Amino acid sequence: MAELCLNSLQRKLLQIIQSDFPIVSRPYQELAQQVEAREGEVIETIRQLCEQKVIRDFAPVFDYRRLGYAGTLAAVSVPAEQVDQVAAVINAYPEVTHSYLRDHRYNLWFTVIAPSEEHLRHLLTEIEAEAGCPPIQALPTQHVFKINVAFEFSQGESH
Amino acid sequence: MDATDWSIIQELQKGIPLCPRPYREIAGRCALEEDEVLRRVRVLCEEGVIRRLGARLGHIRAGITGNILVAWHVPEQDVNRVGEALATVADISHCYQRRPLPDFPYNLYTMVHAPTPEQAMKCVEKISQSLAVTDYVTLPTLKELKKSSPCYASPGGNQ
Repeated sequence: MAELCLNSLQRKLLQIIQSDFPIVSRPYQELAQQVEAREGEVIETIRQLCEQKVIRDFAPVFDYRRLGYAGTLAAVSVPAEQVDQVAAVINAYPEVTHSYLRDHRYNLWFTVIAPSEEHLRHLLTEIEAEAGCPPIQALPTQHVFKINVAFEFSQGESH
Repeated sequence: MDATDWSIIQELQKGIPLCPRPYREIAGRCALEEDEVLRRVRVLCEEGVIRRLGARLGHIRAGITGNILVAWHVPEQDVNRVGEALATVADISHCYQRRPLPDFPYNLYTMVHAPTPEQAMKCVEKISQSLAVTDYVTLPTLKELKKSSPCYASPGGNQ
């Protein structure tokens, strides 16, 4: 269930391309050598994994801080009857990248990035005003101990 | 980073082209040589501007129902020791120190992964015991409301 029904080639490819897409002229050919397949087969397999949404986005993950952006996790405690309306306001902002409904008094959680700290502060104030919700609490990162480790695929077939 | 780096970043975040020479494709769109794009992408990776080059997974992780956000409250003087210890736990993918709130004193945030919610809770209890951190709150996801990739724009505007 957890890993869907992926074949061995798909698993091997996903394991590598989660973090180490080759930076060479013919990267799919290099991948093909690593997984013992043909270049065309590798491209087609990745295309299918994208279509099936197993790959959500085939693009680099940037460190937003290194691009000069500011970001934070934010939480807000919203009365149950207001949740849908507040969530709709929050999610409509392109600067909001992830949002979740959680089982806690602080029930709406989201991550947001903006081109500067000032922009970020304004954005949170704007969302608050537009949503008419209680104060949004910013929970900025003070230190990263571990981040975004690649998912470990068990190798071989699974059905 | 200069305007040329930004032009490459703009194209890369649209997605790595699924053709035999994706960097040449990007180069063409940026009016650059393929070698120049390869060189700059390598530097962006080495410098950590690109954290991971490749595929972001979609519903594979989402399909694991045992993902759980846990916030831990650790005395200030123990944050580094406990944060580093949490980072070594294989079932934890993310570990951040965050600013606590007056009514939410938790200062270390982790994502814990297991195949089922029950196993995730067991895992959390085990971590709590082994690190002797008893003040924590689990924040189970009731619903994923939004998951998107950020879109970065160059500070000087797009060229």
